[in-house]
Amino acid sequence: MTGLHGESDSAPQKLEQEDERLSARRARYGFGLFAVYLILYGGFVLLSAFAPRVMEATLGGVNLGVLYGLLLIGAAFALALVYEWLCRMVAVRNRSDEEGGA
Amino acid sequence: MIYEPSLTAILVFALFVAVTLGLSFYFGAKTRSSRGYFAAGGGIHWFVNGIAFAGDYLSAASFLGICGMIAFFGYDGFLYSIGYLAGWVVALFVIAEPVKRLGRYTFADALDSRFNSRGIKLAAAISTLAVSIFYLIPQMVGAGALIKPLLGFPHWIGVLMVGAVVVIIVVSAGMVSTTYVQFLKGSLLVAFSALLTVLILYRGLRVDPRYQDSSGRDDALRETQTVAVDDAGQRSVNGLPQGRGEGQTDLWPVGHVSKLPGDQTETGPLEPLGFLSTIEQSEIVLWTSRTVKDDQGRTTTVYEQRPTLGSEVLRPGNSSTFAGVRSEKFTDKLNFLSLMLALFCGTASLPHILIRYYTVKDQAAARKSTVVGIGAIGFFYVLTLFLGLGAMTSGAIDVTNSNMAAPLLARSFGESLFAVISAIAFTTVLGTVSGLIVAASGAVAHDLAANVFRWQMTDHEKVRVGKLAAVAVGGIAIVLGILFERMNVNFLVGWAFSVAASANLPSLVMLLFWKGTTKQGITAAVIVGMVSSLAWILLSGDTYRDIYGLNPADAVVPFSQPGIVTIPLGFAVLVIVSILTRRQVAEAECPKRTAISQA
Repeated sequence: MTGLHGESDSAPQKLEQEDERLSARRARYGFGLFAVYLILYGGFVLLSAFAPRVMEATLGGVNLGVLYGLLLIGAAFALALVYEWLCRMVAVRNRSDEEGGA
Repeated sequence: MIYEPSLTAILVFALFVAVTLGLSFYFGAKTRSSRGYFAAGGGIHWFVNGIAFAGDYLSAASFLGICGMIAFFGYDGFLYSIGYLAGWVVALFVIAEPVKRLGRYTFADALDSRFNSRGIKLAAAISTLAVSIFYLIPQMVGAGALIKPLLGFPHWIGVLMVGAVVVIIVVSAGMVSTTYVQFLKGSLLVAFSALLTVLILYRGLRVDPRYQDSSGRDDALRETQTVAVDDAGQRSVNGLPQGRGEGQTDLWPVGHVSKLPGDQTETGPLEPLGFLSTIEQSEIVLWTSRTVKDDQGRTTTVYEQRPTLGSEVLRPGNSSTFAGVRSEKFTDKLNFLSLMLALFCGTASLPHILIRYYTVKDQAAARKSTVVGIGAIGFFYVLTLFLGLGAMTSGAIDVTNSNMAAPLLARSFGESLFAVISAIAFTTVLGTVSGLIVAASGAVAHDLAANVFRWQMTDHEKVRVGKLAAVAVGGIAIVLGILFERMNVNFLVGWAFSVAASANLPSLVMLLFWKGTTKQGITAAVIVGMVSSLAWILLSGDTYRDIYGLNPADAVVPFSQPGIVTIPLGFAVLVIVSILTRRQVAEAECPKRTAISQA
């Protein structure tokens, strides 16, 4: 960071200063959810590559390849919502802790 | 196929360009500072930013490329949808908040946040430029492919027009106008794709009359189409000159269901899963092509019908890109794994996606906008499956041009929808290209000029350098877009993902999660990742076949997709170089420590 950015920079920087403990907690949740998705995605890719026949099995008339693909897309959004909810919980709990302590 | 330019399409087109340029000039008057120009002043609302993510990310490759691939080969195109979306999980859970916390304008800032090293900035800027230009090529090719059928202009004029409009957008207000163009485009694209999907489901599936009775069916299935080009460049189609006049003919549109389950001729409206299960049990006519050259210098492409069971259409491995999953060879399987890994790791390493984290106020906004982005993008990718299969069965497809599948699908519902969808496809190109050009311009002005070469610039001068860089990158994109006219759009995006994932991801991840990372480690990982993935691609079978026109079997590397080798290589280089250089740092500091303890 050189000194080229002018005075408009200092205000947003202060806003972005966040509790490091909170960041670490969020990062842990992020990792957990990432691991869940990695298993789902890895399973899909490995099945497609090494057991393509399995993907042709149908369930309710639709084959597993299509269903698993749709599930992966749905799961990404669902996990994203879970993550957002967890982060909000962390922030709320932290605020009430601080108020309790004061 | 010959397309007649529609006046409505041109009007919708012109209207959109006018609105985007109007927006750009309006914001241009308000955006003066470099933070405003490169990062929209950090003042974009998270929801707008989330939809702008969709506008940024859903490129011509996603819309035209994936729909075309599904329409021609079935399930394989959907694999791209799945991989492209999966990458957002990495972006949200691993990259988004730290990148926001550590950087200000470009992702080079974040990489360099602990070190203040010119080497890192230089390496990151070069990788940003390389990835942006790789990504720009397919966008520009898409623009050319679209303008030809729509306005009747040759390819190069389309590329030139898109390039010029985008440069004007970027130069007028940088990231601010880019964000709103992308927001507008993202909303329109998702909304109209949803509308098209509803229309497809409402129309249901029907057997083409020519295939209905059993004797006519066999005759219809024997029909082939040919396109011949002689050495003078004269095109003839199905044995006659191509044209609309007397004694001339044109390719007929394709994309038919030849059999429905239970010998129905028409299903009527279907619900989404019912549509998929009906396709699964139907028979659809796909087309294969082969090219023959005769001794008079005439090249003839023969298109033949291949009635395919729906259960085959909906399984992976029909296209050449993914044929590896059906092959017994282990390297073919590795090629598939490698591509899926690159898509997974690539999204969160794309510079034009990363800079969007600097347009919002704080980490929470960065996170929320990613959640919105995943919702919008995921929804769109679910729709691509229906759009592609809808196009496959629409009876409106041009057998010579897979990129036109989505607009032609829209045409099967009427000219006005065709006009709107074509205009949206055009905006799709505009939105993504402007994001890429902002990213490249930031890399030049902020990373290279200000931090590597240490030019002393006022804020205003820095914006001017950024604008000059935008014009230059736009010019390069135009030239490359013309040169690469003949390539499938989607294929090139795969390259960009591989290079981005190999060059950028190892450094980003290790910087965030390993304290032992040194600046030499980061610099080396970025350079090795970029050079090795590029070299791998240039020496691969796909490139031999599609670019050099050589036999792919002679290629140096065993499979075409570099990711599975070069991404781990980036990590390995980073760790090794960091360990080696950290020892030097420790040795250099050691005497000091002893001195202190003695004192």
